[in-house]
Amino acid sequence: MLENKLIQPLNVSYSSDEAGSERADEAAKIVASGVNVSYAGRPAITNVNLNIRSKAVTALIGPSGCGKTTFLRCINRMNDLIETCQVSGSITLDNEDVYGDDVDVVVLRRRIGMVFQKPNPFPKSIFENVAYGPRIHGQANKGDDLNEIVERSLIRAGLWDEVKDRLDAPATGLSGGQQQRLCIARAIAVEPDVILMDEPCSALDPIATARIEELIDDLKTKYTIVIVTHSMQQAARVSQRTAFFHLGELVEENEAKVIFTNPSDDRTRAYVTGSIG
Amino acid sequence: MTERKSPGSLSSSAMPGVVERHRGEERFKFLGLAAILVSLSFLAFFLVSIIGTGYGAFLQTALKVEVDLTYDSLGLVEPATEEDIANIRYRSIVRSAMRDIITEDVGRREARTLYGMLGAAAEFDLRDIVVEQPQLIGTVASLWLTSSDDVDLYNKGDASEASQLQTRLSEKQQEWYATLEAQGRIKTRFNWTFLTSSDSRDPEVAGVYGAMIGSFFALGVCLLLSCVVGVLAAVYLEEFAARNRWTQFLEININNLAAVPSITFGLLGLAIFLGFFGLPRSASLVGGMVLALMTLPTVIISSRVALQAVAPSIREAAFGIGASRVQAVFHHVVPLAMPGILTGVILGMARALGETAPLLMIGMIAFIADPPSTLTQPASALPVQVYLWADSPERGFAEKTAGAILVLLVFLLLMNLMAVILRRKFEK
Repeated sequence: MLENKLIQPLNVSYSSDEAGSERADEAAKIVASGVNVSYAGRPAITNVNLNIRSKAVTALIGPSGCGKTTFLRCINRMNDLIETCQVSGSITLDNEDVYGDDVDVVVLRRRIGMVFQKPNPFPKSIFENVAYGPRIHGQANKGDDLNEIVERSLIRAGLWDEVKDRLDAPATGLSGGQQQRLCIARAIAVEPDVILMDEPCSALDPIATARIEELIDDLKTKYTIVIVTHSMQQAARVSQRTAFFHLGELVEENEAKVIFTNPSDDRTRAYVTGSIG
Repeated sequence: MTERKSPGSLSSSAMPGVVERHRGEERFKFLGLAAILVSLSFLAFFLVSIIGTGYGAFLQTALKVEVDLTYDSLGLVEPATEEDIANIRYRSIVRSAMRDIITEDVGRREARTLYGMLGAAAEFDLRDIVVEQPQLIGTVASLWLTSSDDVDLYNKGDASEASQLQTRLSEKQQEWYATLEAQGRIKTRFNWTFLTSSDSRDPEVAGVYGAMIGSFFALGVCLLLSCVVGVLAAVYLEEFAARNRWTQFLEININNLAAVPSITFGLLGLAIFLGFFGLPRSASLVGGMVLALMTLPTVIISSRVALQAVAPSIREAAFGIGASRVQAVFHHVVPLAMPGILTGVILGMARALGETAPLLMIGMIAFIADPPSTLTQPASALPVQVYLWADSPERGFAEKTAGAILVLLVFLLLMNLMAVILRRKFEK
C-alpha cells in the first residue's frame, strides 16, 4: 500500500542492473568518514560517512543548499580553490587519504575526473578539447597515439559519429548536449577511475538528457560514477545507490530502489514524495 | 449621428503622470544629443584648426636659380675629387646665383636682404644635389632650392591685406619676389625635409625625424618593460596570490599610482635612473623606462580586469582534468584574456606616446639636432618637439608645431587601429 503510493508519483523504472545489491560485499572505492566542510567558518556539511561502490553509479540527492555538491567537490579537492573552505575528516580513494600530506592534486584529479553543471568545453577545437588532458599528463605524445585516444574517448562518449568529420571545428559550435558529451569524453580521455558529475543534465533538454543518462549507464561498467542531481527521476533511472542529503547532513544511503520505495528516514520519505524540497 | 471624440482608456491621458514621464524621456534624449553635439563640435574645431595650421608644414617654397658650377668659377681642376666637392663654398655660389637673377644695382645692405631670400636650407640643398650628382660640376645647372622661411610664409599666406602687413619681407624683397614670380621661378612643393630632418634653429630645415626616432626608441623600451612586468604582475596578483591584507594593500597602491600626475614619475626617474644608477641624461632608454613606470599601473589594472572577465568555468574545466595552476593559467586563462590585455597595453602605449612632462624631468627637453642611433644617445620625442617649437619665437615654427601635432595624431590613430585589429584577431 505504502510502496504503491510512493512509486506512483515517480513513475519510473529502476535501473535493471542489480550491482548495488549484488556487489554489496565488494570493497568500497571511496570511503568518506566524518567529513565536515565549512565556508568561512559557516558549516556546509557535517559528519558525512559514505562508502561509494566501485563501478556503480551513486546518486547524491537532496534539496538545494543541502551540501551534496560541496561533498562531491571534496572528493577531487576542487574545494581547495576556494580559500575560505575548510575540510576535516577523511576521504580515501582505494584506501589512500586524498587529503594526505603527500597527495598531489594534479595526480588526484587525473584519477578522479569531473563533469560540471554547465557544459564548459575549452574554446578550442573538438580534438584539442579531448587531447588536452592526455597531452599535459604525458599519456600520449606521438600523433597516432593521441588520435587513437581522442577517437576512443569520443566513441565511448557517444559523440564520435556526430563529430568525426569536423574534429577541427570549434567545440563551442556544438549543441549543449553535444558539448556536455564532449566534456565527458574529455574527462574519460585521461582514463580516470572515478567520474564525478555535478548535475550534468540541468542545462539540457529532455532528449539530450536521455542520451547522457544512457551514456552514464554504459560508463559504469568501467568507471565509478558519483552524480549529483536535482531530479529524483534521474537518480532513480541511473543510480544503483542513492544518498539523500538534507541541511548538510547525510540522512540516508541505500540501494536506489529502497530509497525511493521504502526509505527508513521520515525526511527521505517526505523528500521523495515531494512534500519537502 | 455624431460620436464625441474622447481619449480611449489606453491613451496616455488615461493614467495620471504618464504624459509627464514621456516628457522626461524626451528631455533626456534632447540633453544627451546636445552633449554629443557639443563634444563633436569641439573635436571638429580642433581638427580644422590643427589641419588648417599644420598642412603648411608639409609644403615648402622653392626658388629656381641657375647655379654656376663650372670649373673656372669654382676654381677647381678637372676631375673634382670628393674632397674638392666637400670644400666647395656653396654659400657664395648661391649668392652669386641670386645676383644673376636680380640684375639691378644693389648696395651692400640690400644685397644681404637679397641673399636672405634663400636661407641656410638652400646651401644644404645645393650641397646634397652636388654630392648626389657630381656630373653637374662643370655645367651651369638650373636647380630648385628651398627658400628662407620668410619667403615661404609670404608664399603660403593668402594675398589679403592682413598677411601682407604681417610679413617680415621688406618692400624691396616683396618687389624681388614679384619679379621672381613673374619669371616662374617660384613653386610650392612637398616638404620632405619636414619628415627626414631633425630639429634646427631655422624653421625651413627643421623636421620631426629625430623626434620620431626618439619616440620610437622610448616606446619600444616602454612596451617591452610594461608588457613583461605588467602582465606578469597582473597574472600573479589575479591567479596566484592569496587574498589577504598584503595583496589588498598592493592593490590600493597600484590603483593610486594610476592616478598620480605623470610629472611625478619624471622626478622618480630623475632620482633613480639618473641620480642613483647614473644612466645618461636625455637618453631614450631612460625616457622609455620612465614612461614604463607611468604606464605600468594602467597595464596591470586593465590586465587584471581582463583576467577576471574569463569565465570561472574554464578554470574549473582545466583544474578538473588535472592541469596545474600554471598550465590552467597559461594554456587557457591568459589566451582568453589576451584581447583585453592587449587593449590595455596599447592604450597605455598611446598615452605614453603623448606624454611630455616626465620626459622633461630627465632632460629630453634639450635641443638635439641629430636623430639618435642608439638607446643611450641624447634624443627628443614628438610631444617634446611640439612643446619646444610652440615655445620658439620664429613665426615659421607655428605651422611646424601644428605639423608635428598632426604627425603625433597620425601615430596615435595607427596605434588605436592596431589595437582594434589585434583584438579582432585574438577574439576569433
